[in-house]
Amino acid sequence: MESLSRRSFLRKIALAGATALGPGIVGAGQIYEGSKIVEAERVYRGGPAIIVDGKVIQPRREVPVICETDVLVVGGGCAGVMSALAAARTGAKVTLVERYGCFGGLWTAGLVLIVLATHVEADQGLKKCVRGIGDELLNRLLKIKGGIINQGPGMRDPTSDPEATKYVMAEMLSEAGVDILLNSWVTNAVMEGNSIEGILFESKAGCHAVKAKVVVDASGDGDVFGAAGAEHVRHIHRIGLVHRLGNVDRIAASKSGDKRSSPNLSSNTPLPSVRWVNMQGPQGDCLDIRTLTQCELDGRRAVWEKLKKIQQTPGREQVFMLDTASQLGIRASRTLTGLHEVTFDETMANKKYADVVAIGGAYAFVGNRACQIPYRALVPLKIDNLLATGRCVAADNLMLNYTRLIGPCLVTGHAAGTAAALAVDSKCRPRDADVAKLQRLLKAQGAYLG
Amino acid sequence: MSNRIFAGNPSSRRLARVSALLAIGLVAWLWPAAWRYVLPALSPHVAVCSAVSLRFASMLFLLSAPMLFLMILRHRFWCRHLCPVGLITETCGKLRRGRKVDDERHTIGKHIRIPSSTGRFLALASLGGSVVGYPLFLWADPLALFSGFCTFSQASAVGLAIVILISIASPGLWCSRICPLGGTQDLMVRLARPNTRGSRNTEVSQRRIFLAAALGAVFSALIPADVLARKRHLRPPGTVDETALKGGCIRCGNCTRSCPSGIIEPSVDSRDVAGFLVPRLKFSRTDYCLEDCNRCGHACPTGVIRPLPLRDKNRHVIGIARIDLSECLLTMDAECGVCVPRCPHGAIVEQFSRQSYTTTLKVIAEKCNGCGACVGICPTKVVTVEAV
Repeated sequence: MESLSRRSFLRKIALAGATALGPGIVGAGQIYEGSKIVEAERVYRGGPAIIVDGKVIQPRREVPVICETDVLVVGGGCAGVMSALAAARTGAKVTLVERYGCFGGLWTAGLVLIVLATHVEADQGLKKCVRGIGDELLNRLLKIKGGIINQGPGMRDPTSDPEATKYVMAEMLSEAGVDILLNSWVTNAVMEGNSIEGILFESKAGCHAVKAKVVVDASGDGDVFGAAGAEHVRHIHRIGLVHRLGNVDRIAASKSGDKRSSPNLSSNTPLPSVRWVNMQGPQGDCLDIRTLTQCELDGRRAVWEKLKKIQQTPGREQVFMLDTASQLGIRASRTLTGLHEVTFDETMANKKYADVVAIGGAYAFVGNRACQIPYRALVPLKIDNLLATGRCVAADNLMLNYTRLIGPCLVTGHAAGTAAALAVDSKCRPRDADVAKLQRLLKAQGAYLG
Repeated sequence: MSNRIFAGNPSSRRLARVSALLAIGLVAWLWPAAWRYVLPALSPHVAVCSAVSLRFASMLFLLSAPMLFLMILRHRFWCRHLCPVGLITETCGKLRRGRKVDDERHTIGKHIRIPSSTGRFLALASLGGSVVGYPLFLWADPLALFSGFCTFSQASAVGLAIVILISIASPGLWCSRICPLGGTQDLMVRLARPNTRGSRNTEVSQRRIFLAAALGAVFSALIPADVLARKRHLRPPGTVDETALKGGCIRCGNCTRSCPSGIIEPSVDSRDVAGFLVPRLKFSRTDYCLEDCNRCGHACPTGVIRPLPLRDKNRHVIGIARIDLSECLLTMDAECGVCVPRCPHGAIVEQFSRQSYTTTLKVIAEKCNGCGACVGICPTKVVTVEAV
């Protein structure tokens, strides 16, 4: 801003804003509905951005508030859906904002499919850790043909069908009476001092605000607490693009020769002819748009190259590409700096927290151990009326490889939703919520807290 | 005199020894960090021989000075009034009914006669051996035996058990004739106060002194180098080379006690007899050689684990991590790679191939010091640290 004094800058901004004080409207007017022209819904953009001294300046304007709610959940992935369901069932008025047209996030659109860390091995067989709403969801998937495999007594770490999961999640949210906004990309936080009052999101209808008493950041990337200025840690991690292969039941095993030299067709899915193939991908900053774009392009090319090789293998000519994930497999981007950080050392020491609100099951690197996550890992240091959940809860750079799994996300999601509703009900900040009461509520909702 | 090691008023001696033991206990209680390490370092026998063999003396070396003066001023006062092993042997000696306290024997069984100069010979042979780098009988020092006994679960009770057996069979024999620390005292008194009673009783000719030391040196030099130098195990950070370690380590267990991770254990390996009870590292799921710790080096009374500053200790290569990529989850496109953030030295990196679009892991040899953090966290147990 070297060529622009503060005074002249403000004047120009004011000029730019003057055209659009009050909700800025572009494209308002008329619309064809069949053969008739009717009055159109307004698109709120506040006017186009303008060039001032070679710089692109956004118009300053009032943003229309689309709704006011008790609990606003940002992100409709597994943690967000759990949060919305939990908050609604606890009695709060809930709005859920999701950037895509479906629910499940990386589980469904990201084709992760396998729900890891659900159980631990105990003396009398398997002990379930992911209970409550998460388990209810998994059991509802079981009622759908081809909905889920490895779910039920004596089985662990189920794999679900993405379409069935999207459907069941939407059904459950509708049943709970959650107000849903799809295809809405949350872009900013609305702050008053250190307290978050709502969010801004962009959609085809322009920019809107949602006001809320408590905001749950289930965006995975921590977009809300990032925008709100909460302290957090950023991570570089592998970015993959997973895919599914079809017709694997038509593989002529007799022709395929040496098993080890043939391409890896990874793991089973509920669909008998379909296999799911993981991808690690290159390490990168998941908040950098050039990186993300490159990963989409390179990942897709790599998947197709791999498929060509499979199809060239004798006996595997019939294998085809069913689909690639609609979104990149982002493993870690931001984690909250919470009141407490889940650390590898504490987990290994089987640390029991007085404020435990979620317990995940066994997983490779933590071993056969039920891992506790305290309420404080969801609460930001400074920002009020905000809770983090899912992948971006406070965890060190080892334990984030655990908290990012679907199993732990289901339980932290449940905890955050109930906590948010409790805070609204008790008219207090989430950080001041009565943890004992929260634990009683969670237990009443079926959650396992040790 | 020298044969009457337990002469004098037995009850007053016992009182002194028990008080000494209680004093150790009291210090242990008040100052737990220090007491665990000082006991073996009190011995001048250990201090001198290890300093000569390593051409290096750690700060703990100074701890032996008080006993050195005591030895010269009051011959065998330590043995009679303070030595914890002396208390044990004397008590054991009285186990047989009808035996008088001063009924000392000079034989093991009926026929194997132990000459009165054995302890002196052992001390001299150790000194001679340490000149060529391998102090032969350093491990037989009573304070090392006692300290080791306090540390190790089963293995090193062996040394003290043998001493106890000797004492039951032949009371007083260990203390008066075999103990190399006793022998050291005899020699020191002779050297410093040639005409006192104690020194006359422990008369040894110059020739014999020379012969004993030379014998120790020759014998040490003759031990096949490959037997000693063969490295079978990972050693604590900062250890000297294998030969010096196996000779110079008194098996006192200070390093084991000092390690906050509990990864230092006495080695018991039939294929490494020379390294019996020498410390080795064993990593567990969470325990590895911490990057902010160098306690073992500062606890070692002989200096075979050198007291390196933290920076140098972290640069000391214990071994190097090896990842068996054929069984590595990440290399098989499964979710893992936790060894990468686990490594405190940034020595494990992901290697992404744009060609095959796969990720594999690589250990950067220059950064890896073999601390073992990656070993425990690997879910498929394919990471090991190999000795170099």
